Amino acid sequence: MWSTLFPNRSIRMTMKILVAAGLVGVLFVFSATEVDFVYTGF
Amino acid sequence: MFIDLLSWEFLLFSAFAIILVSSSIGLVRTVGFLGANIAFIFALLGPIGLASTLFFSGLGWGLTRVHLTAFRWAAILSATLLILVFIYMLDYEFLGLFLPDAARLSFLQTVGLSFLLFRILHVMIDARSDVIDRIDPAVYPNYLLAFTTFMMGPIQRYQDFRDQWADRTQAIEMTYEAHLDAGLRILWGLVKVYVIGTFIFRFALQPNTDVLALSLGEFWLQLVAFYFFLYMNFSGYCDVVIGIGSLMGIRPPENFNNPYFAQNIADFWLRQHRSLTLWLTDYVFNPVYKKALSSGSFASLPLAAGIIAAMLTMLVSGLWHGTTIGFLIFGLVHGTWLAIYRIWDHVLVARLGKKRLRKVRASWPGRVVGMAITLHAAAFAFLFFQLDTPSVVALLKGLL
Repeated sequence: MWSTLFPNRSIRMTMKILVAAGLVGVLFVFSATEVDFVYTGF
Repeated sequence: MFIDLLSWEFLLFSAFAIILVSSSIGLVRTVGFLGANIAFIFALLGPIGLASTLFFSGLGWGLTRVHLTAFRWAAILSATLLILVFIYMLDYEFLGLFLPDAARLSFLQTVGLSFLLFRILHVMIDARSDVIDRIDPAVYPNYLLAFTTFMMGPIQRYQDFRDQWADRTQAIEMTYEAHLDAGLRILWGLVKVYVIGTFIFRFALQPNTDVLALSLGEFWLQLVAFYFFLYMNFSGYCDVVIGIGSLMGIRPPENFNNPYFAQNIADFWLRQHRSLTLWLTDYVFNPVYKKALSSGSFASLPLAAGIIAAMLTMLVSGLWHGTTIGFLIFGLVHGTWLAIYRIWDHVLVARLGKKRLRKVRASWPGRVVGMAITLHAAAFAFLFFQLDTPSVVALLKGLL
């Protein structure tokens, strides 16, 4: 998908770094969330 | 079970493990990673949980040595004993029928023992049939206890782990972009678990829900929400550990492939918790199916042999997923879905022929109908996965 959207490697890497930074920001907002993992019950 | 993948402790620990495994060699790497794995299990389960995990791993190693002796009875006995100890340690609900409360291990808090059991059994069986030529004592403990796959899989094969550990195969390409992709995968997995999953969870079925008191619309919404919550929760977790494993150099296998796009229930199990499905296919379905076909009664009835093998496989799957009656029913429901699918497929092939049936299934209405039926069938089975025992009993009493 990334290669189709951004065939130029430098632009693709830059976009990936920007997306990663965005995801870090989103996770920072949700950092206090507590989650149960359903599959670890036993 | 609570573990905070977003905590500084877990992220720093993962970074430490990545640096340790990818930059050290020999004994330092082996012992260092084993120490890290044991520290992880101790932090997760405490001293009793760690002791029980180490006991079960040690027992698995000992019984594997017994399993590899020349005697067939010793092989059967060792595998049976391991499974019996597993059932006892996990304190399966049905043990109450045979054992007094004082003899049960209801106090033991374990996690990941079911995954550990399947890893040990896989090595036992494959080593006996020479698929695994040698069990390396320096690799085996880390294979069993690796923190990336300890809690919830994926169920990695020993050969895959060993070859990556020994640098015979590469986890990912040695490029900046491949490493950036692994990092992105960790972040996306965390977003699936902590953002999307927690949002969907608000609408999802709860363990103590009185299902019979719900309207059909509420029931549908809660069931489908639970299906997608479980997907986000489990596949997000797998994304995180696959990303960490990729950076470390020991990448766990893929476990999900858009299960909501599955067009039949057999396809669903190849897309959902795929490493478990492949394990069950290799060590339960195929042997039972072959045995049934080679026996006199089912030699000319491959459909019946397939249904029996599928039913038994799903029963094992259900009991492996959990210790209560709900999980037994979860397995039976999936076994029933697989039986219906196989019979329906048989009827359609007889009526339409293979070529026409393939054409109908490839058409967009065929694909949409297939996906919708499969999604709802899978979501319905998860009803028994999520409900606790009193709620399952109340539901069954209300229905009967």
